[in-house]
Amino acid sequence: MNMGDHLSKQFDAELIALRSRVVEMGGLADEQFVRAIEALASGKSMLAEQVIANDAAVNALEVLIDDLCAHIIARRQPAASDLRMLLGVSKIVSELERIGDKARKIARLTHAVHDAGVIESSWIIDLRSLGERARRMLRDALNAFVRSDLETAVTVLRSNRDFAKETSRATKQLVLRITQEPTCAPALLDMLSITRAIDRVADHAANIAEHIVYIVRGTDVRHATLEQIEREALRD
Amino acid sequence: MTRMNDERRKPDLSTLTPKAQVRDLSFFYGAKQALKSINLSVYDRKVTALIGPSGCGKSTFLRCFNRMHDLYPGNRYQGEIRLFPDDVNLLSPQVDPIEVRMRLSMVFQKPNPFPKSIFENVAYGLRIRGERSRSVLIDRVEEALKGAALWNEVKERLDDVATTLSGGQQQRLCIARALACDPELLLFDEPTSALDPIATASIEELIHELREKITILIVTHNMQQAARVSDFTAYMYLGDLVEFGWTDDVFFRPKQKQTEDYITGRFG
Repeated sequence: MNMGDHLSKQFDAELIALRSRVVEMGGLADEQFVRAIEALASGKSMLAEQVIANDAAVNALEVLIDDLCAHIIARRQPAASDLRMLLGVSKIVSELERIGDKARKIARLTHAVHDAGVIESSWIIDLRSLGERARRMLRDALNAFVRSDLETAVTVLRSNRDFAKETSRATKQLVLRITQEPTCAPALLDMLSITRAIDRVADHAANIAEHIVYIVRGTDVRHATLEQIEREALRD
Repeated sequence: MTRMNDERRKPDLSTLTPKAQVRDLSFFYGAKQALKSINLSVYDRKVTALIGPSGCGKSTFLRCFNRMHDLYPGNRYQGEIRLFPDDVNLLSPQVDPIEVRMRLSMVFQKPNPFPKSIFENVAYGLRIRGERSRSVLIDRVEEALKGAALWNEVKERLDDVATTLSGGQQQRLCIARALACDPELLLFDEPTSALDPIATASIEELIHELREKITILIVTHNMQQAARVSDFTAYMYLGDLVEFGWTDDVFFRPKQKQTEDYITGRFG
């Protein structure tokens, strides 16, 4: 998707600056999530504290990028692909902000999970593995945005469908264990919240992929089936 | 699979009634071809905007409708513009251009009131058509001025010379002059390019109201204006019709890259 070549070079520069900010925010949200998972796996409370503190930077970028979008719309009256880009970016940064929130949530719960001392390391390793898969989806979604790459966007959506099954299985195991070991319930409920947070990160990555289809194709594929989205995104 | 609310869903084109159909229209200024085999439907009581860079042929196209090109020697039409419901070819040599202009009115870029009173400007077309009754003229002039949203501003000064009006008022007077003759199709050639934003807004509001009753074809350099006032947009380039569609679609998701480049300001 060609974002440059406007007669107004200033407009080109504004759009390029906007996209750079989105990439910056994507990188930051990704880093926050990776560090939150790392804190969970390692139990390093300093790392968790850093994630919690850095969430403000993610929030600030959301506000900044939304403001940039509003000003470009007001001053340039963009149309077609430019307008779709601005609308799409505004939605994508909301997803990224929520990913930041989930990272903060995981970081906050890390302490409690480790302090309880009732969670086996194998369970933590499983969660880490889920987190890494969600992270790959997020990276793919961000790369798809940078390259306006619909094939990769569709890959993210496909991965999310399988991922939801995985997290559902993990959730069921946790619920079962809560019923079997009520004394461990508080720590297990925290694990459940972390599992849900990881699942939501994957959902947000999938939402980003849908927004990319909207930006490139001009078609709103939210709430459409995966098959419908594949047809729309991958048509010639 | 574009998802939208039901009220935003547009009717199928086949369900709309065309007011005019342009079929394989080519136009030549002497040896120079300015329009290349254009096919286009102008739908009844809809606003169709013609956009494109200077020299793309949009004004030439508009002027074919009222046979303005007949005024100059060496100009030549090919193809047809059929006007409905009677299915007459406006370009046929057998059709008198004066008759055509009785059915289609044009409003130009610069307001061009006659050096007469406000009343006489509006009554002019009716007098030419032989209307002699003073009471009929009074009624029709009032109706046309109301239709052009000018009545309240001029009702106390109908005998003043039209050139004493502001630019925006003069343009609305020209619209009232056109409306007085009860046109089936209104042709606007850059009607607001000489007006300030407030006068422009009042003309655009008027176009919005007029489309309830009249089919409108408008040429505009101002893409935002096309986006604001029209139901359909046609993008022309070098005498070709590149894209035609619902304005919503053309400005949000154009089919042709050329259209996309033009409306996003990538190409002049």
